[in-house]
Amino acid sequence: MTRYLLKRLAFAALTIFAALTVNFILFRALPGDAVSGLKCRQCTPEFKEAQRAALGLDQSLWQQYVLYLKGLLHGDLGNSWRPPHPTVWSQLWDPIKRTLPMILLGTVFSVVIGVSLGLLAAWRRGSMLDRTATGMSLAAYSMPTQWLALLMVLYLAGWLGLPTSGVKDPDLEIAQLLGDVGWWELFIDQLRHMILPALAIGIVFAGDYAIITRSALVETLSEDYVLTARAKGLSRWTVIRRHALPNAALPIVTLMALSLGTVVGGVLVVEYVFSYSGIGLTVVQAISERDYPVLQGAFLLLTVAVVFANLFADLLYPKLDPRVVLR
Amino acid sequence: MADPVMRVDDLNVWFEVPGGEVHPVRDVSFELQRGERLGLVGESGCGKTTVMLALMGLLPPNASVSGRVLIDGVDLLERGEVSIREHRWRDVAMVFQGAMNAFNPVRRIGAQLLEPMVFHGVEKGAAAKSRACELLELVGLPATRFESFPHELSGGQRQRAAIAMALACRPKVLLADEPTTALDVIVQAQVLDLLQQLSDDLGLSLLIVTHDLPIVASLCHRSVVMYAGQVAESGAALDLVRNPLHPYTRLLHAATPEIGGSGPIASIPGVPPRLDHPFPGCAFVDRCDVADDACASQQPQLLEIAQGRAVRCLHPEVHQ
Repeated sequence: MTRYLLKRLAFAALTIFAALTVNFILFRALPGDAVSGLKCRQCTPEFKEAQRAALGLDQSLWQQYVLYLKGLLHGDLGNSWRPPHPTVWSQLWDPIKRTLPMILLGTVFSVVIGVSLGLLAAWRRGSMLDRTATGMSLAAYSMPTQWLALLMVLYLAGWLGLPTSGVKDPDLEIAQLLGDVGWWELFIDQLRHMILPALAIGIVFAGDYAIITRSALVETLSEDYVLTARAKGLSRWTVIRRHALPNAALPIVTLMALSLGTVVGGVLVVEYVFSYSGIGLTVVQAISERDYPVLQGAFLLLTVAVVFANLFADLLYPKLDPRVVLR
Repeated sequence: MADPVMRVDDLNVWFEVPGGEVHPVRDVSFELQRGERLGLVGESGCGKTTVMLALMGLLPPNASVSGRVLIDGVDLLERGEVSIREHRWRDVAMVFQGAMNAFNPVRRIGAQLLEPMVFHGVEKGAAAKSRACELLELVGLPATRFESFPHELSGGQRQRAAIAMALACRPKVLLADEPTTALDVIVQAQVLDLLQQLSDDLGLSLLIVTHDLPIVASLCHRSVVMYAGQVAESGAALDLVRNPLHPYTRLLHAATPEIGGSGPIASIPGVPPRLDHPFPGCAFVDRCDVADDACASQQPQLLEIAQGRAVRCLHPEVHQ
């Protein structure tokens, strides 16, 4: 077990190193840089050169790469290129605090919706209900996230009376500064801002969960032990709850870990539509400004998150299925 | 000994399949006496497993069933799934063909043993657990197997555990569907001994489905030979082997390879008839070695030749 863990950790470090190298190259492969986009009266070529020198862009790619790695080894993600050059970490931390709960809520939505749909479909396999549920899952699966988000802004937000942009009610923010608002109100307000973006992500990914759950359940339901469970006289629901769902948990957990990366892709567009100032919006802004350190920092964190989510899922497997032995 | 614990009357099963209907079980009737071991014999596809599943109402949704299955006079099939559920495992329990997979791999043996007891309210709490451990010991497993996962047991041990699980609710009838198929010969013999011993000790009525005639002869009191969904012959198990009346029984027995025997293993030529239409004559006519013109056009009826001895053949092989 310890051996396995060490092996996996070494492999994780290798994966992260490879990913950050690719990121480093990719951003610089884009035409133009942080300075070339500047347009102002004093932006003479000399001024731009001076700016490049200040940001270290005049050095060779190789030198920049070595500098970047050196910084990382000291736990330094660098500084944003946007004046007044705050550290990348301080730039990312607040958006992460806003995005993380939103992703979590979205995942809860997608698991609840997806697993229920998949369960219904598998339960009434071949029936009208199955076809409807499977059709809905495929529709959700293939739906563009931003389009769904826009539809929600247009129709759902008004109907539910939920805010369509931002992370906080501005009035409440002022009240908070004055200090006459309770934490409960703030919590509810942030939750209200989170619901629609989370639901957009939840619905789009519910399709994946529904399809995976259905196929896993259909497979387990044809197993001999399910027939045994029915022969014991258990009701259909008990059979599914005790003898099919636990066995279908493995692919669902795998999907949770694997989809983290794609979910962040969805977060990018969803936060844009809802002006939700989370990590997605930060990344979009950093791309438009060619703020390499912030981009590198954000993608590094994402890589670390995905790698460790997968490691965690692998460590969870033996708990879900005693036949799995890690070595 | 006219004290049947289970009576099956005119059991018929049809399967709705694309392009028609298959009729794999045709007017099957038999009785199982209290404490009796009855063998249901036939080759693959003769409908014996379908009979078993029908007895427990476990056929897939495309199946329709007619007939009666009486346990101590109560008809299990009367109200379909609803009426049969309370009888499952309480009155009729089952050891499955694929007993290797009869246990859910992600749950402990003990939990799966407790499940039917608690569900049917036979025992609960600590009493249920101690009964489960007793059952494990009864089938020759250490009680510590309670905490094991199925994959930690060998095939034979798993089959024993499956038998223990089948006994959990003290069923009146135990169905065993090819209980020894996936086991090697030694373990096979041990499991059969166990079944025999249990039915002797507990007075358990046993219905064993198998294609293996010698198993039936050594283990069962009586046996029913099935062919193409019909009862071909029934009678005392030893009688059927020593003095088969139906040509199919005789050929089936002749096809059993003997240890130390030489030469090719005998087989019955031909294939069973298609089951998606009625038979014009005897179902076995194409493969029978004594068939004549009458057999092709005239359906033989199941006739009781002697007490407890019936055969469905126009030319039963009665040797005096």
